[in-house]
Parts: sequence; C-alpha cells; structure tokens
Amino acid sequence: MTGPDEPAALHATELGFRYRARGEWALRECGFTVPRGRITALVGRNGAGKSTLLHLAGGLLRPAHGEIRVLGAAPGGGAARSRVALLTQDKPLYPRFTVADTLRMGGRLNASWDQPVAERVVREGGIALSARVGELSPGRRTRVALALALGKRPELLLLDEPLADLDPVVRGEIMATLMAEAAEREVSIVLSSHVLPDLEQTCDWVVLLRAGRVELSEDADALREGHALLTGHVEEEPTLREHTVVHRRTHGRQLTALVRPRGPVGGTWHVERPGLEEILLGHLQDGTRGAKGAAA
Amino acid sequence: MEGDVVEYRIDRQSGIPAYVQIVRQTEQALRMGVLRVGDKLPTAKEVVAATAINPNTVFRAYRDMEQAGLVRSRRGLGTFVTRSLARPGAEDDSPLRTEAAAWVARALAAGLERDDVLALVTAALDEHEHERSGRDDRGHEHHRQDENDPGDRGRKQEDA
Amino acid sequence: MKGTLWLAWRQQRALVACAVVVVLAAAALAAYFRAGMLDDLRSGLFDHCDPGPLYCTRAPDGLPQFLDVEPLRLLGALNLVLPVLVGVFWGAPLLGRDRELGTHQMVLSQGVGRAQWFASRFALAALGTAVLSGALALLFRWWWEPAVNRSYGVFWYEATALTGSGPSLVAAALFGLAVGTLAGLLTRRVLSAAAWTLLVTGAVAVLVQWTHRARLLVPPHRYVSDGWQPKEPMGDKWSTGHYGLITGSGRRDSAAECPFPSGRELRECMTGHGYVSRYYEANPAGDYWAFQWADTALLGGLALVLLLVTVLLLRRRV
Repeated sequence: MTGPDEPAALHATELGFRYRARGEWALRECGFTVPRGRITALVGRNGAGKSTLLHLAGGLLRPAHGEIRVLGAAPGGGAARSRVALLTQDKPLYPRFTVADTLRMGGRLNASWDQPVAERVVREGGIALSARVGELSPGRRTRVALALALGKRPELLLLDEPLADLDPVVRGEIMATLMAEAAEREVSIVLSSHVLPDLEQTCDWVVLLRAGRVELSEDADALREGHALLTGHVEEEPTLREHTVVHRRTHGRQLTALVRPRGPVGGTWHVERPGLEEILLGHLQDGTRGAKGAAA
Repeated sequence: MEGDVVEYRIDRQSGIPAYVQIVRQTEQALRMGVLRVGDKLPTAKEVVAATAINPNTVFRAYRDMEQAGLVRSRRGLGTFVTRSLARPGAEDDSPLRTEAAAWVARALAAGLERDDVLALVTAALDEHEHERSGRDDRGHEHHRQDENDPGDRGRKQEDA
Repeated sequence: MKGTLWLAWRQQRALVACAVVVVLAAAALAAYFRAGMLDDLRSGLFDHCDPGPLYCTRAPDGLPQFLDVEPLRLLGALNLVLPVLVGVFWGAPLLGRDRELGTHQMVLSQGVGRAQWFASRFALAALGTAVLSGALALLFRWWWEPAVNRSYGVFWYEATALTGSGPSLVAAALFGLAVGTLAGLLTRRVLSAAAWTLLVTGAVAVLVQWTHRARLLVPPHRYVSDGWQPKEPMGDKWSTGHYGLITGSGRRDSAAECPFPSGRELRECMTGHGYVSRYYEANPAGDYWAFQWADTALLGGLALVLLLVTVLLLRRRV
C-alpha cells in the first residue's frame, strides 16, 4: 500500500509546547511516528495534550521545541495545508451560513475540492443544504464540519474529539462515514477520543499521551498481542518481576495484572488476552501502579 | 444487486477480532448456501459503512479468505466467491438431516432435554475427533482445513 | 486570494450595505438642505452680511440671522463619531467574531494561510471604511460650501467642520477600524472588544480636540498692531483668546493692564506703561489644511502602528 520511503503521516521529534498563559509544558519531548494509511487513536486523559498535539499538526500552533512533520511537510505551510484537514473539538462553523454556503466556502478556500463528496456526507445525515448551521443539532453540525474536512480530499485527516457530545446512534453513523471514506481512498486518520469502545474496531494504530509525553505509539494488533491479563494468587506476584506490569489491582488474595510479558510467564496464572480498551485503560490508569490493595 | 447477498454483523463485545468474525460469517454463509460460487462479496466500503469498523480489517479478512482459496479479488471489479463450502448432506431435505430429526425426536421422547441432546452430540463429535487426531497428530483447528484441502493434508502426513 | 476575499465579502456584505445606505441617506439630506440654503442666499436676505465672526442681524428687529445649518452640523456630528462607530461595528467583530466562535481555526484548517485570510478581510474593511468616510467627508464639504466661514454659516474651526470633513476624517475612521481590529484580536470577545474600542477611540477623539484647542500641532500666528491704531479684524481667523500688550523691550503683558478698546484712555494707559504695540494670537482660515494634514498624519500613523501590532500578534494569537 505505502512504500517504505514515503514520509510518515505524522512524525515528531523532541516536540515540546508550552502555553504562554499557563507556563507549564503541555507537550514535552514527544517523539513518535504514525505510518501512512493508518487509522490512529490518540488517547489520553483530560489535559494530556491531545488537542495541543493536533493543533500543532494542523499548523494552528507552532512548537516551542523540536518539530513535527505532517506527510513530510511542515504544518501550516502551503504544501501541508492542501493535504491535511483538521477538525477541532468545538467544530466551529459560521452559525449564520447555510449548509450550502458552508460547503461553497470549502470550495472557495481549498485548491482541490470535491463537492459531490461533501454533499454526500451532508445528505447521509439527512441535512438540508438550505438549513442554517446555527440551527442544527450538535450531531448534524459535526457532520457538516466533517463534510468540510472530507470535501477537501485530505491525505491526512486530524479529528479532535469528533464524537464527543454525540448520541450513540450518531456516533456510529459518523464513524461509519469516516471509515467508508478511509476505505475508498487512502486517507490517514488521527482521531482523539475518550470513547474507548468506539476505538476498538476502528483504529489500527495507537498513540497514548500521558501528562504531555508520548507513552505508546504502536500498531493496535501488536499492542493486543504484546499484553496479557493475568489473574491469580497474590503470592504469585514475584513471578512477574521480569515483566512489565502496566497495571495491577488486588482484591483480597486475588491479583489482577495487565502485563507486557518479556518471555514466558512463570507461576500459575489464569491468562487472558485483553482487548484494546482494557490495555488503554490500564495504561491511562497506571498512576495507581504499585498501590496495593487500593479499591478499584 | 449481486453484492448484497451477505451482510456482516460485528459483535464488539465478543473479544473476537473483527476480521475473524468476517471470515467466520462468510464461511457460515458459504456452508449454508447463502453465498454461492460467483457471488460478489460486498466492497470494503460497503462493509465499513454498515459496521463502522476499520477498512484495513475488511481488507485483511478478504486477504485471508483469498489465501485460503475461498474468494478471489479482481482489481476494479470486486471480490468473488470461487469455492463453495456447502456440503452435500447439509441441505434441508438430505437423508442425514432426516435421520438427525428422527434421532432428536426419539431422544426427546426418551425424556432428554435440549442440553442433554447437545451434550450427547458434542461427546460423539469429540470422540470422533479424538480418534482422528490420534491418527494424524494435529490440532483440531486444522481439521476443517484438512478436509478442504486434501493435497495439503497429504503433504503434512508425509512430513510427519 | 479569491477565496478569502469571497469569504470576507460574504461576512461583511451586510456592513457594506449599511454603509451604502448611510451614504445615500446623507446624500439625499445634503441635496435637499443645500438647495434650501442656496434658495435663502439667492433671496437676498444675506446680501448685506459681512464676513466675520459677528452675527449678521435682521434690519427690522436686530435679531441674529442664520442659514439653516443645523442639519449640516448634525452630519458633522455623525462624522465626529464615525471612527467610534466604524471601530465598534466593523473593527471589533473583524477578528473578534472569529476569535469568539473559534471559526478562525476552521478557516485556517482550509487551504489558506493566516496572512492571506487577514489581509483579505482587513483590506475589504479598510476599503469600505475609506470609501464611507471619504464620501461623508466630501458630502460635508459640498454641503458646507455656501456657508463656509460666514457669520450666518459654519466657520472652519468648529469641531463639526474641522474634524468632520477633509482627509483627516478618513484617517480617523481607519484608526477606529484598526483599534477595533486589534481589540478583537486581543480580547477574543466581540462585546469586550467593542467596549475597548469605544473607550480608546473616544479618548483619542477627545485628545485630538484638545490638541486643536491647545494649538499643539498647528501653532497660532501672532498679529501685532503698532501703537493704538485699530487691530487687524479677526475675520475668519480662529482666536486663541490671547490678547495683550508689548513693551518697547518686547515683554508681553495681558490686555488687562489697559482694558480699553480704543480712544484716549487706551492711548494714555499705553503711554503710561510704556507699551508700544498690541497683539492677538489666532490661526488664519488657511490653517484648516494644516490642521487637516496634522490630524491625518497623527491618526493615520497611529492606525498603521496598530495594524503592524495586529499583524505581529496574529501569528501568536490566532
């Protein structure tokens, strides 16, 4: 699908960013690569730096340190602008524009514009072109914003919390539209989300941010295969010493641990293969690592 | 449309990878005769638009089935079924089915419940499988494929 | 560029329409009232009036006589507050609206850069402002023509005329626009941007009036008359209110030392105190243009500085 020397969708080296007002680093020493053609989940807790990272990739912010490249180009530059689309979290649109006006704007502001695609995305949501954007429900507004992003025919689509505030039905519909576009042409998608179950079957790459640092940037299947969920007696814990324990929880004499095994696991354990959601949750929670007997 | 013959349903809670679910559902459709040779599978876009799963998952499932010789993808046209898994004997009016119906009727008449009947069948199948795996010393997961591909099985036996 | 200009037009067309309506309405009123003024002048009622600051009186009862210049002063007043109006309604939302809604992020995620986006919308707003203020200034000038510097009309140094006409009005309006634009960028709320614009533009307008009164930028001329011969008439000059007496050594004293308009008392007083001449300070009518260019340079310069600051901050704030 993609050649090895083709530039990555996202490539960051030593990336750092600090908001002037807050002073502390929102992102720090981030280095990672997201290959092309992937659907990437950008996960992290509130304030972990997800939006900052996407804004940097979209060229809305400039790094304070290090650099980030999108499709091999500098974000915000002419080369990147025509190939990268960013949908920010509040999905801002002009409320007094009609849907048709909004799409016309997309056509005027982009060098390449696919009006049929944009109209189809809007129509799939049952939205009239003559409707005023300000009068649409949040789900429909998201869809119009998405139409604006997809009409651009981007090679890289950056979505900041596209599913927040949407009901499950609309979430499924939006996701289906996205996946269908990804299937039709080779578009790399990076989407940040708190809705972990929605990511399980959609994302094949994961970037996990923790307090401004990149903790994981890996293939989703590799993550699934690289983790094991162990349940057993607390006394068996020493056998885990040579493995990486991502997250552990004790309840009475029972110990449950999410581990990244380095070689075969000794001791008597009930071994399960965790889902992506469990793995991500484990990594997100791992501040409780080592806290014994803590109620979950 | 030809491509509308199957619809995939992805169970997100099952823990089974989505591409495995697609392969299994395709095989089941083939076995039940819902899909026949020459039928066109839905395009990745259609599957994805209906299920909201990663398109690479569908590509992977189709690739796996192509490698297993079940389907063939033709560039620009779609993915087509090349082999049937429907077995003579599984249809509604086959003698085996009639015999099974009669046997089930007898078991129920003897006072067995549904679970007992299923347990009996499972036990019989296990016993049978045990004998077979004793013969060629291979896991039962490969069992089905053995039947599908006698040539392959023959080679493996030579290796063993 | 075409795309961002289209967007700028799409978002500012209501304001442009408003501006056109204002200019058309002002033009209609000007045409109507100016015709009335010309009729009055043609009637011969004002033929006996001299130029000069003293009221022209009606022969029978001695009451002062005026042309109907109140509507003209009203247009002048509108022109006086025009920079504030432009700043609040055109400047403040120019970036403030996008900052408030976050829509600049959406626009900048399309295929256009910041510079192009800003340049298009500011250029359109500046053009609209310049045309609006220019048209209103010219209208005032045309309407004012029959009554310029007449005792029954409007003198050049009245604020409505001095600030409400000429190139300085265009500079002032552009200054208002620049203030509003920067305020919108800094406050990220249209309402507070409008409030700041009102405050700053209003304060600068007051400051400009103060520089006029203090003759800060255009110093007055000193008119000296030797001995006790009559002073040169004030006419259409703008007096500073400073009158006085000058001694043989050149010292200037207040006119209060010899508070007599003329005649023997004045002569005796001046001789007694050793005064050799009298003077007063005023700006001649020709200084209208000096004031105009001074204000144009001041406000235009300020507008350019604000624009520069806006452009420099754009990268950080948007």
